[in-house]
Amino acid sequence: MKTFKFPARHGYAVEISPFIPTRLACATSQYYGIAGCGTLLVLEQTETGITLVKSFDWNDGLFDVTWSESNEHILLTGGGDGSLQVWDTANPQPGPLQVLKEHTQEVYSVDWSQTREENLVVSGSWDRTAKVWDLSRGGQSLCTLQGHEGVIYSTLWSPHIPGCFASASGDGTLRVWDVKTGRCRLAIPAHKAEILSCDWCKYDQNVIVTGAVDCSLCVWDLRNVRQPLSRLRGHSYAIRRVKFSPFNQTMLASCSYDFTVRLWDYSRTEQPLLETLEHHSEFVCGLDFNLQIPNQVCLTIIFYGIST
Amino acid sequence: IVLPRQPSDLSSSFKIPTLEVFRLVQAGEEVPGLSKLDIKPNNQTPTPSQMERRPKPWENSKTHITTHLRPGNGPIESDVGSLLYVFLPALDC
Repeated sequence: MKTFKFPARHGYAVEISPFIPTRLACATSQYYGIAGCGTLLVLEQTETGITLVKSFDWNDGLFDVTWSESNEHILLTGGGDGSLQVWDTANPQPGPLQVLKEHTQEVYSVDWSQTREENLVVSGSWDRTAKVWDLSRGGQSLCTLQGHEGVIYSTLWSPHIPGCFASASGDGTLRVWDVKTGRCRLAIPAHKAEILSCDWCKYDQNVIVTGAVDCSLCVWDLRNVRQPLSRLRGHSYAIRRVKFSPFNQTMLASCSYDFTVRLWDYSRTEQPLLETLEHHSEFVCGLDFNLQIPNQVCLTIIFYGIST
Repeated sequence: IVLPRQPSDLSSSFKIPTLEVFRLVQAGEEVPGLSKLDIKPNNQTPTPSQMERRPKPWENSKTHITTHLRPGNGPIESDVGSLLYVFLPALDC
């Protein structure tokens, strides 16, 4: 077990570099994002522990981070001031390369498209909109997607369908959007509670999982959304993050405010829960699978310490 | 474990509990001890990439797109490998 401690910051999101498997980025905020600034941490795993490669401060809290899929130096964060920041780990100058300011409230989710032909970023905000950006086209968004009736917590590109992303919202719906038409293709009343996280299946383009404040995960086939393929129960508090395995079609991991991380295989209809990892004094906020280690589940977990 | 650098806004020795911060923010009051940063973009061009994009595991897979669930009630095959923890503790006590 390797640990890294950084005082005065609370972790919100973690993502492993798609180019360098030992490198990870962590978006953090001061005072739980209520007030103060934020810091982007770029960390490196070594045999003995975790070292700090670089840190970037920002004027407001940072809630999400995404690595570029086309350049190993570049990452992007979403901030409490409604802006997105583009960072370059190889540039010695302080500050971001670029700031994209259009959202009027916190940007809680940023995602860089993994589809090869695209170079797009999607952002999801508490202002209830999602925006799509092409960083090579300057500081203006390509389009703004409206429709959610609550804050957006998560926006994620489909790994298979170009120009298609999903969003999870405080309005209890999961929506699937098509960027070319700017339209919402599907709105699923997936939970009777806020949905904090969602993720696409990597091996079936029709399958998505949602994780909600009602403590459950639902796996959906978008071709038939009248009922979920599977409902995974076990967590005793809200689901903070859910991620599908990059190696296995039906395996996924979830973390919750109940101080656990759980591993599931939803094809095991009688007993889908594979493993529960408990940590008594902190709850997990961020979660990512390592894409470079075949046949192995490797989780990166951020503990979000709480005061007593 | 490497000692992390201290952020500049920890120069104030008084640490405010989170609930107090929340109350101050709700009341529209200033939170003492927070340094206001004024970081601006440098508008430089990105450092050119030197690495090739790697294919994702599912891009190599033969079961790239599938619509059937494999039944899986057999023995657990998960292999939880190394767990990496990044711990960011709370400031207040």
